[in-house]
This record gives sequence, C-alpha cells and structure tokens, in this order.
Amino acid sequence: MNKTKVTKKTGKKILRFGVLVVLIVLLYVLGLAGLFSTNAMRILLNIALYVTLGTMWNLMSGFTGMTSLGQQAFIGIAGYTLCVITSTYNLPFWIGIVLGGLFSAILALLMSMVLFRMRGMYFAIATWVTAEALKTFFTSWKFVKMGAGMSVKARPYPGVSLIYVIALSLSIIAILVVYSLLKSKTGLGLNAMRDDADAASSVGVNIFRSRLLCFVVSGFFTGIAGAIFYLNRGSIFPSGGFGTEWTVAIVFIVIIGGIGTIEGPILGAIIYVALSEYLSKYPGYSMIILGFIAIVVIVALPYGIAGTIERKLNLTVFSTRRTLEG
Amino acid sequence: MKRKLHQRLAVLAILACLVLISACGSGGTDPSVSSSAAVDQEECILVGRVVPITGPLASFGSGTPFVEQQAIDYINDVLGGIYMSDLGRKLPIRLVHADSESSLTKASEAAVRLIQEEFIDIMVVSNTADTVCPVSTVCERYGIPCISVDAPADVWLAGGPYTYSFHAFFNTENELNCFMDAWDQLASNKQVGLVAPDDLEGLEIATRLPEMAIGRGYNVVDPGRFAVGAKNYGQLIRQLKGSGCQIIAGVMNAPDFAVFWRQCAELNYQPKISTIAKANLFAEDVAALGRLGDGLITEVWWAPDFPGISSLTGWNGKELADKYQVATNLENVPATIGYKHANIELLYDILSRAASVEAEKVVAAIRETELETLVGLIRFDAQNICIMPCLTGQWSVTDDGRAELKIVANTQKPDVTVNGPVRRHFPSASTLSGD
Repeated sequence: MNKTKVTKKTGKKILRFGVLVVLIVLLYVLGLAGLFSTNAMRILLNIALYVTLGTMWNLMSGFTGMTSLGQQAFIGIAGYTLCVITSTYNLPFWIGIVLGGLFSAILALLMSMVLFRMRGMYFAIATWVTAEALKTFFTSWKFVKMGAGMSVKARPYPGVSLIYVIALSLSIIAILVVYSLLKSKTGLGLNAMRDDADAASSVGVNIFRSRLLCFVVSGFFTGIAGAIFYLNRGSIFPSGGFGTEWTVAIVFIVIIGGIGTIEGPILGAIIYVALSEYLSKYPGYSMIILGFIAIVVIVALPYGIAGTIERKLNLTVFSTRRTLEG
Repeated sequence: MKRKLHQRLAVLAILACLVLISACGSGGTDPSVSSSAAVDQEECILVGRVVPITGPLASFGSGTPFVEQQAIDYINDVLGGIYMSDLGRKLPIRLVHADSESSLTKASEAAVRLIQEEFIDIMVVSNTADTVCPVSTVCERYGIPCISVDAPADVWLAGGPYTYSFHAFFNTENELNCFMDAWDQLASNKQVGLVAPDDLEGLEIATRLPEMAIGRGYNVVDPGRFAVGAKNYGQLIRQLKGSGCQIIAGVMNAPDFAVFWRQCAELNYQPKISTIAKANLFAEDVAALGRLGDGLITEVWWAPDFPGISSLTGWNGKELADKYQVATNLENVPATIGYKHANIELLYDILSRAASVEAEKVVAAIRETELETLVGLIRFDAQNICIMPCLTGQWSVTDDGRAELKIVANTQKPDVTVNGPVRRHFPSASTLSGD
C-alpha cells in the first residue's frame, strides 16, 4: 500500500518536472528559431526579468523575513554600470552585465554593514532611503551625465532574441539557486530565522551570515536582471533606474503570486506583465486597477495564488517543505 | 463561514474589476490609434507619437492628437499621401500615439511599445525633455528615425550623440537670455535666486545660469536642487528671501510652481520678477493662480500672431489657431500647437524627399532638411540639432480672471511685435528691502 503511494508520488513529481522541462525547452527553441514575434518576445523577456526580480525579493522577504523596499538600488547601479562600460569605456555589453551584478553585490555587502542593525519596518525603510539617496546622487553626478541619463552603446547591438535568451536563462538560474539554497541546511536556518530570529539564533543559526548571504545573492541577481532590462531598453535615467515603481511591481508580483513559494513569483510575473500590457491602453487607471487587484487578492487569498493552490490542492512543483521520515 | 463570505466578496470584487477593465475596453476606439481609422494599417506609413496626456505635463499634451491629425488629414486627403519610390505610388500616413503619463520611464515604455507592437516607421515627439529624451534614446536603440521638437536642445543633446534622432527647439542659452532681457528692463539689486529641481532641465539651467548671469552683471544665489513634486518649499523660500533675491529664475512643472508660488505669498516673499521656465506657459495654469499669476514672466516660442506660414497647408498662425479653437471649443491657444504642426511639416518634407521609409534613406533626407515652417527655418547641424529663437512674455490677469500674454522683449526674433515693457510683479505689494 505504502509502496504504491510512494510510486504514485514519484510519478507525479516526474510528470511535473517533465512538463516543466518541455516548457523550458520550447521557450528556448521558439525564441532561438525566431518563431515568436518581436512583441511576444518583448513580453516574455519582461516576464523572465520580473520572475528573477520577484524570486530574489521573495528569497529575502518570503523565506528570510527581510523585507526590502529598495531593490531599485541594485537595478539602478547595474543599469548605470552597463551604460558606463559600453558607452564610456567602449567594452562589450556582457562585461557590463557581469560587472553590474558584481557592483550590486558589493553594494549589498556595504549596505549590510549598517542595515543589518535594523529589523522589520526599520530595515525596509532604510533600504528605500538608500535607493532614494542613490537616485539623488546619480542625478547630480557629472560622470554619469547627471539627470540627462545615459545610453547603452553596444556594438553590434544584441537583438531582442539574444537578450530574451539571456533573460530566460537568468530566471531559470535564479530559481534553481533559490531552490537549492532553501533545500540546503542554510535554507532550514533561513526559515527558522524568518519565523523567529531569536529562537533560531539560540539553536545555532548564524543570523548575520545567513542574512548576508541572502542579501548579497539577491543584490547580485537583481542587478543582473536590471542590467539586462536596460540592455533591452537602451538608456537609463536616475528617476527610472532608482524609481520606486520597481519595488511596487516586485511586491505586487510576489504578493499576488504567493509569498514564500517558489512558484509565486513566476505566476505573479505572468499576471503582472499581462495586466501591465493590457492596462497600458488606459493610462491613469492602470495603477488604480493593479492596486485594487492586489488588495482583493490580499484579502481573499492571503497566501497568494500559488500559496492557496498549494494549501487547497496540495499541488506544488518546487516544494521546499521538509517532512520527517520514518 | 466568515472565510467563505470573504472569498465570495473577493470573487465579486474580481468580477467588478473585470467589468471595469471591459468597460474601459468598450469605450470606443483604442485610444492609442488615431481617429483616421479609414487608413488601412497594411497600406500606410505608420507614425508613432509619444505624448504626455496625463500627469503634471498634461498641459503640454493638450492639442495632441488633434493638431497632428489635422495636418496628417491634409497630407492624406488633399495631397493624396506620400510617394514611395519602391512601391511606385503614394501611401497615406497613419498616426499612432501613446501616453507617457509625464514619466521618463513610461515614455520609454510607450516608445518601445510603439516600435515593437505597432511597428511604426518613424517617430515624432515633443513636449519637454522628460518626453523627448527617453523617446529619442529608445529610437536610437531600435534604429527608428525620430524627429523631435519642444525641449531645450542642449538638454536633448546631453543624451547623445544621435544617429537616427533630430531635434529643433531653443536651447537653455536662448531661454535664459530671454529671461535676462526681462531683468534688464527693471531696476533691481541684481540678486537672482535659482529655483531648479533635480530633473533634466533643472540641472541644465542650474549649470548654465550662474555663468550667464554673472556675464550680464547679476549675482546668483543657489539654494540647491529639490525633488520634482516637492510639497514644502519653506526652506528654499526663506533662503531666497534671506539673500534678498529680487529676481527668481529657474524651471518647474506648473503644478509644482503653483505650490511654490503660493508658499512664497504665504511667507511674504515677493520678488520683483519671476522668470521660471516651463511653469507659466499656459493661460489656464496662470489664471488658476488668480492675482498671484499677474506679472509672471515666461519664455514664448510661438503664438498665433507670430510671422510664419506652414509649408504644408499654407496656413498662418492665426488660421491654425482658429481651426484649433473651432475644433476644441477652447478659448486659449497654447504655444505648443505651432511646433506640433511644424513637426508634421517636417515629417512630410522629409518623407517626400526620402520617398522611402528605410531608416538610412530617411536619415539622409533629414540631414538635408532646409524648410521654412510655421515656426521658422529648420536646418539641422552636424549634432542633429537646430537652435530656434525664444521670446519674453509677461502675463496679465484681468479682473474677470482671464490670463493674457504680452510680448515684452523680442531680441532673438525682431520680426515679432513687442506689446510693451516689463511690468513689475505685485505692483501694489510691499517690496524687499534694498529697493
């Protein structure tokens, strides 16, 4: 009886992963073969980037309990790094992307020295203030042309299909990194820390090291995603790169999709991009409707769409739950 | 039980939301598509236009798409379209516009959408650096020719160098010179207070004003930059007042200036001359300030009575203004519509010479442009810009609350009539010490 149950469970798991692999292969093949229209590619590219951004914010807020409202700091830094590398130093764009991620990780490291003394809302506000301070600094920094913004000068400029493939790969890597992290011993500590940091600390979880790891990983991937976004856009301005709109979008994605689940940011990103595309025809109303949807979902589905599906139907692809065996 | 009720309420709310979205969708034609629906997308030249229809720059967007569409209708209906050499026949033009929501980021997104979703052949854009600069850089990224007007030329140039984008408008130097023409007309202590936010135009003015003002014998007090959308200017005003600035100069959005100017009155700070760019361009914005709007100085780049004939329709400024007033039923004719019309004049001239929508051919045609338009002669230099003149205007608010603009200096365009000298602001109010 038990053996049949286990076989059924394993079968379901294999089926889910099989479907997922087929889907990923299809996304790559169709993109590389040029079977998507440029518009479809633009939408999928945005989804892939928001999946990465949402996954990284989820790692911090959903799995570790560090709610950041300043993810735009990493996006802006990486976007500007890409522009400086390609425009000022005439180097290839991929160096700009990698350095963008590295500088974002270094920024996370520097921020952690001060910000990790704070918790909860104080931490959230401090991250937001840091991003705002960076926006002000970049607006008056001559090296980056102050508020006039900078352009990406890649030669030759990569096509949308190549940028799409890079973004898709990044989102897959980001999900795998977070999944592996949460399945590891460190992940167990992170969950314990989210539920009660003091209790976790008393049983041997190194709070500072765990938080630092998440913050730096999140900063790195968020930065890379930001650099890819601006590679596709072609230019960056301080008000956009360090804009609070980024955090609004990321929080919406994770809350709607399901905070504390791997699938949540994926579902959230698809919904957010689809809604943004549709509502772009109705400027002025778009943010009202997005806000309204967020409130409704928070009230009705406090665990988000993925969280509710997991609880009601026991359906999950990337389960990070741990069960006692024996 | 309670939970089930919550869920039902949520379902109802989602349904309401969907109905709301559908209602928006059924509200007539797609708002981004021009009203000239008779033109088939397959058989036309697609022209993109990003415009601030909502947000703090909405006054600039007023008149779009009417003015552009009016000129395009003339091209399609009277001239029969534009000849395309590879097809051997004329094609009509179709305008597709998108709202920038007065945001740099949204302007970029709108431009990308027009390029990748609508597959536009060419972009025309105007209405402040916050709209023009991001759209031009997106066009550079995708290799789409872009013709822009109505943003200080040097601010636009800072985002370059450009290959596919070209721009015609006054530069910050011309703008500040027209303000200084007003300063020179009134006796003052020559102390100028700089009022500039940390946006594209604010930073450019903050860089240029001190050197230019010193050159004309004025001293500039710079209290530093402030954020766009700030709600409290108390500290800034106290600094200007404390420094005895009888003149203020800078740049602000109209809604921000309204807040700033009311706080100046509340704090009893009454400079003799206010020369704030971008803030006092539109009669409605000035009239909304009531008596506080009387005497404000503004840059003027076009008015219906300016000399100039449209190369496309043969209309003069008055004829264009009359058509605008009849169609919109609006009393005031904004300065923006002259350049909006000129943008389509340029479009027609360039595409007619290129006889193609291939980017390289269009760019080559733009480089050879030499067109006498409704707003003056347009000829692009090696940096893809054409510097246009700028005049000095002063608002009078009548007893019945209407705002009227008078030209008080014409140094850069002497063929425009001057209506009188600069009046002092707040003529009946107390003045700063040191008068």
